[in-house]
Amino acid sequence: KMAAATMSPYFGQQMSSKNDLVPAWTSQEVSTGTTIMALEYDGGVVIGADSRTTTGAYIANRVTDKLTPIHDRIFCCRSGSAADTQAIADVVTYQLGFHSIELDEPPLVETAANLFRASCYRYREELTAGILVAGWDRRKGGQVYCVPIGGMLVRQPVSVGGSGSSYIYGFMDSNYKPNMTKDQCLELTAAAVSLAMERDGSSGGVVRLASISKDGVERRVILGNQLPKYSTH
Amino acid sequence: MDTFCTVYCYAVSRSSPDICSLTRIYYDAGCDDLSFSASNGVVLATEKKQKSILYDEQSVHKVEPITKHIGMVYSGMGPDYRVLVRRARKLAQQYFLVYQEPIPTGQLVQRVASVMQEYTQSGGVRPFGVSLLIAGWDEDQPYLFQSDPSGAYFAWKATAMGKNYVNGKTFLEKRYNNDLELEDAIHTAILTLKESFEGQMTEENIEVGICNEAGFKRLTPAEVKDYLAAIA
Repeated sequence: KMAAATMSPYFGQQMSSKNDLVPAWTSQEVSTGTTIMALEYDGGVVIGADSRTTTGAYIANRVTDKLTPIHDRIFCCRSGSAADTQAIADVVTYQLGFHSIELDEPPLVETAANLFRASCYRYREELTAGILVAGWDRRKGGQVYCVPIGGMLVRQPVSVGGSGSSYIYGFMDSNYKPNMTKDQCLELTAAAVSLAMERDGSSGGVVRLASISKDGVERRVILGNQLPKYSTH
Repeated sequence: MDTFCTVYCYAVSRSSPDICSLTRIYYDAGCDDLSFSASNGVVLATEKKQKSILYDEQSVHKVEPITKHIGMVYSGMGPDYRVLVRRARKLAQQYFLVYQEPIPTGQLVQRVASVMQEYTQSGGVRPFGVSLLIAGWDEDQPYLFQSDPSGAYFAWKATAMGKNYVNGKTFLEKRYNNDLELEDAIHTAILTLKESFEGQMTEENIEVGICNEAGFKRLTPAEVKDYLAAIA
């Protein structure tokens, strides 16, 4: 039953579960359990995330900001290992910052996405990172690129990620329509993330939203008591 | 400046027999540039004389941004400058990656000057044939530094470099005072440049960069034209 691969994240858990002197959470990685999503609209993108970071069952941070700026009009949504995604985002920020100032132009979202993909694919054995890259550039307007675990890269008009995303695929498939306005996108994102937070134990806290367009970035937070309420009973 | 010549000749004589002619090139190619630190910003100004009217002036720049809040200009060999610009940009990003804060101007200057010094003490290389003027804004203060081929660096309130630096500095000494605002500084910088300018000064053959709390910016030819109109 011991894990064969030394890189398996569960290897550590099996070792210390036999050890009563050390609590289980010391061997569990800090994870942005998460629900993240990003949508394209005509003129920009809307991104959203929950705010829960867990070490095992303990919520290490209940007000996490998983929407990370990479450049003036490019953000990423982080899911997976908190440490891995922070480190990758920092490196990509460096690479994109240098690239952009050499070009003397704002960078393309596709460029940022490819930099993420390059790191995520090269180090795929050591990393656990599911990232959505979203932003606006002059050439193609609002764009969302998905870089899941393993280091694939694909552009999608709508993308969800993180452990909570499984619960809202159906919701997104039935409620997303092409050519929505920015406000419709914001409403949809808030609703979807709330639903996922309700069902996924690793997602919760507040809903963080951001919209990115040529005019800049607008950020907002929806607090617990202001979240849309759903009930099936 | 004369002491630098001697340093080159002794340190690098084996790998570079042409070192003496090199330093001559350094001086000849030195176009005039100058910079000015005002109470609320810094201005860098340089002449950019091209050898032929066929050159596309806007494709190559002397005033270059390093980060959002730091920029620089040079006097000397263009190709050597490009290497340092690239290096400086990388150093700035590296600093941010480690310290999660924009690099303070002094720190960048120290690091760039370090690189320049390295090339005076390593085998098989020659010193950079440029003097840099680095302008930055951090912690609500303007900064202006010069970095020489030896690796020595100095902070300035106002300075001039290049062919006519003696006259330039004299002119600046008369005109500098601590309370000058950025707008006046730009005006004065352009006037100083005009003193040693041969021929007609237009927005196509000078470059101006400014650095204030909003960050570093190279002025567009249109903006330079407005300032030139004011001194006409």
